[in-house]
Amino acid sequence: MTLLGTFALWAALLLACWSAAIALLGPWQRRPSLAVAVTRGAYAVCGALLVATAALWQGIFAHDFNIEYVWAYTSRNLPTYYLVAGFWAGQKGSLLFWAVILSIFGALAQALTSSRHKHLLPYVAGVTNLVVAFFVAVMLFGHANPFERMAFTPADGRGLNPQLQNPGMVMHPPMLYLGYISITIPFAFAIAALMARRLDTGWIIAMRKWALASWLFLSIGITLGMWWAYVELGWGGVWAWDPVENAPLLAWLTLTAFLHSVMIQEKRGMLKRWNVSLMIGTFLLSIFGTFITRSGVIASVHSFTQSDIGYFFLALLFVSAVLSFTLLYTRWPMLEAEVQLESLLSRESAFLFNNLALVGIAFSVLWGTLFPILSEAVKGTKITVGPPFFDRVNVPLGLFLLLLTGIGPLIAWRKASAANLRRQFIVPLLSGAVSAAALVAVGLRDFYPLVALSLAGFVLGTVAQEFYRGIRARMSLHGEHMLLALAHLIARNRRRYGGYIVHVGIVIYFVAFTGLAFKVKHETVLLPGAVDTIRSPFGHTYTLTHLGVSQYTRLNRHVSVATLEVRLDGERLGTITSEKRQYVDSFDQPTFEPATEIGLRSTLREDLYVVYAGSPDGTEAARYTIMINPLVTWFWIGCGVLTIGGLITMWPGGPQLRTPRRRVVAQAGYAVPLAGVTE
Amino acid sequence: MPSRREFVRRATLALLPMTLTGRTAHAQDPSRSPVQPTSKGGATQADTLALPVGRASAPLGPLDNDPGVIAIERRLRCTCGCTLDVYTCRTTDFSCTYSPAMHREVVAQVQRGATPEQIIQWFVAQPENGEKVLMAPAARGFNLMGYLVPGLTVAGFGVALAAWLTRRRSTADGPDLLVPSQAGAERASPGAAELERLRRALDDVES
Repeated sequence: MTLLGTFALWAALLLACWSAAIALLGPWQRRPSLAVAVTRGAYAVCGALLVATAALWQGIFAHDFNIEYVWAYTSRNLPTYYLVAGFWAGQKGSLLFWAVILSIFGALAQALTSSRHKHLLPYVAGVTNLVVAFFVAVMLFGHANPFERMAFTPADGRGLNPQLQNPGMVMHPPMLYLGYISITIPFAFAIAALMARRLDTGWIIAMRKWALASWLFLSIGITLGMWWAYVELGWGGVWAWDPVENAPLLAWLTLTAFLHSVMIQEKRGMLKRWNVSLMIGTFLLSIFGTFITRSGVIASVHSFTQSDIGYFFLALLFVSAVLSFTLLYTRWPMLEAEVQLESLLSRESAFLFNNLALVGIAFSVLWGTLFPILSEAVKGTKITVGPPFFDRVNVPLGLFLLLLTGIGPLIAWRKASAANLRRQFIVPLLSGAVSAAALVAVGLRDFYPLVALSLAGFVLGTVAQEFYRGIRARMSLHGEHMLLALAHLIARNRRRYGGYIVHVGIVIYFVAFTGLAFKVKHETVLLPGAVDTIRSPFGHTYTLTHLGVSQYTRLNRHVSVATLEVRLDGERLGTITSEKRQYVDSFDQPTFEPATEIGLRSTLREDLYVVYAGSPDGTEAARYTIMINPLVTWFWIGCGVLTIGGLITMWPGGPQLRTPRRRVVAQAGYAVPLAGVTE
Repeated sequence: MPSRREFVRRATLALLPMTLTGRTAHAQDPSRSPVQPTSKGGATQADTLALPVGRASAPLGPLDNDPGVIAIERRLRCTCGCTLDVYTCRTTDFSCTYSPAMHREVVAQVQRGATPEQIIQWFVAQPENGEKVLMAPAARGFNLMGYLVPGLTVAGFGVALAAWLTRRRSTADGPDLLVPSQAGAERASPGAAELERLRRALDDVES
């Protein structure tokens, strides 16, 4: 099967190169049959890479430890679902995963794109196949072939890193990869529009759902990463501003900016250059993130995928940037705005400032991530840029963004009158003010949390007002019941109201982050029967009694488990356990450093988070780190709300996008003369 | 009826032979066995387990939960390469030997009466550390640029954007804003060949 896998990789490489060359160098324009061949090339590349994928999975499930990759990331006693995760657990497998998923997306883009945009498809196939060819070439020429065999066959594999043996890690990397990878498709449409000189709104309509899907995958992938870090790493936080954490956030921020600014182009024909630039920038940031993750050029806790192949990605980054921006430069005059902005007090302006905040945060995160390199280059001294730096720089920008999240939907398109502003702002401002007053009344005095929660109240007031007005209008116009009116309101305006639901999700994230500012943590050593107490920020007292340490063995690990009895304000809630695990291979030999499994008791209000640090001198006493983490559950709820909103926004069907007459008159390329002809 | 503590102790003693004869966990480094022959920190010999997983934990020190010590340790980066601060690392990564050593140094200096700034500067002055031992660079000199550039850039672009929008509004007050800009319309015009192709396509559709 390894021969078949390697052969499939070579076939994919040759097919992808051929298809990209035909598509991007232009011979298909003279021979239409070649255009069909190019699009079919996308399917063929996908087929070849699916064969390679099947071959690697066959090796993994057959425990063929002669394959170096299978030996390095799996073992005989690894549970089946972690065997599945073994596919993308290491460098080589994740490259194949990336390539095959991109080829699937490329094929889907060919199959699902409306025939109205078929003039873009050969270019789209060309760009996607070029990127696929790059990944396959890295595998074949960068010493990253997952089918590489060893000179001997070990009896068992090394197994999967214990920190990756977590359900979150089965889902988090593929979801993040899906986000990163799918960015290539809207980028390919942008390049296709530039190459085809078809710079009307067509490419935006063709790729909008892909961009939304990328954004949704990235959002879920980032949140799953937060969840994994929270439950697996044992430090009780969700975000540490690690460079590898920052990498997907960068792409997420610029993609979010794109999804907002693209609305201005659709509605008003403005910001065309900016939108293409944002899409190119988002793609480049996705490659930059991959470079950071895999190069090790910046110190990161994510060290398990670092290798020399990072520099391949640096080359891709450089070449892509030069080619894309050169192409943009040559098409610059065709991207002139169709209309001009009418007022500073307009939704367009609010969206522009929203873009400024999002891109500004992306810039500050990028700046902080790269500043150690800059400092070393300029001063010759190494420095660390950790959470205190990022918090200081980004918290004000984040709050500015939250404010704009509330303002944007309240201002009318084109020009807002004073009366309009008064009518729109009064309820949200009241909501924010009441939130602030309530928080001060309960004793909150910390500046940033107070501002964040008040702004959250303001944004929720905005969203509630929008829903209320929409429902009330439907109830009075159509005589519908409230719930039916809500359903119809959302169904008929999916983008708008799905977007508002996404805003609610974002607000929930802000609230959850604010809650973590009130985290309580301490260490204690308890003999069996000994008691410790910890007071939650909400004023409750947890009483924890150490019951003892026991040991047991599972399929691939030995476990020491420490148990605490939990009482909240005197009421018994049950027990909570935390484990130390020693993973072993099928010969009972240790495979990795001992790992810690936290004990967690979650409520909507707060999490009781317990970490068993070990037993002093081999006694049954246990050393614990105990934390109360307020509002953490709301991260996961926020992700759920955001996902629902995102799915509503991108759900197929619903009212078709209609091109306004203004755009028919002004559209670059076709509309003006054609109107003249038909008249 | 025995107390819970007594019950656990008896159960431990009863299970001890079984644990010893059964399959036991292995420490990563056999030379660092978690089992010590004697007990410390208030635990008695009867509490001794066979082979708990992982390294033995140190007993709780007098300043382990001290807010002053924690505040200092939050400003220092663990030198093991984990990118965490000393406090987070020593309370999280229980296999790390660097952060406990740095913690002991902080505690020792606090007990000697050193101020937080003196302790921080002592760590920075160590030849193997330098400024990278700080979780965030001191906001002075070149590092000040690191702090100011993002905010100033965003503020600068914000002011420029507001000025541009205001200027656009004043210049746009005259003509009908829904009429496309002349230059854009001219550039948008397709060539004769393209027009011909479109006419043919339209004829095909209509026929």
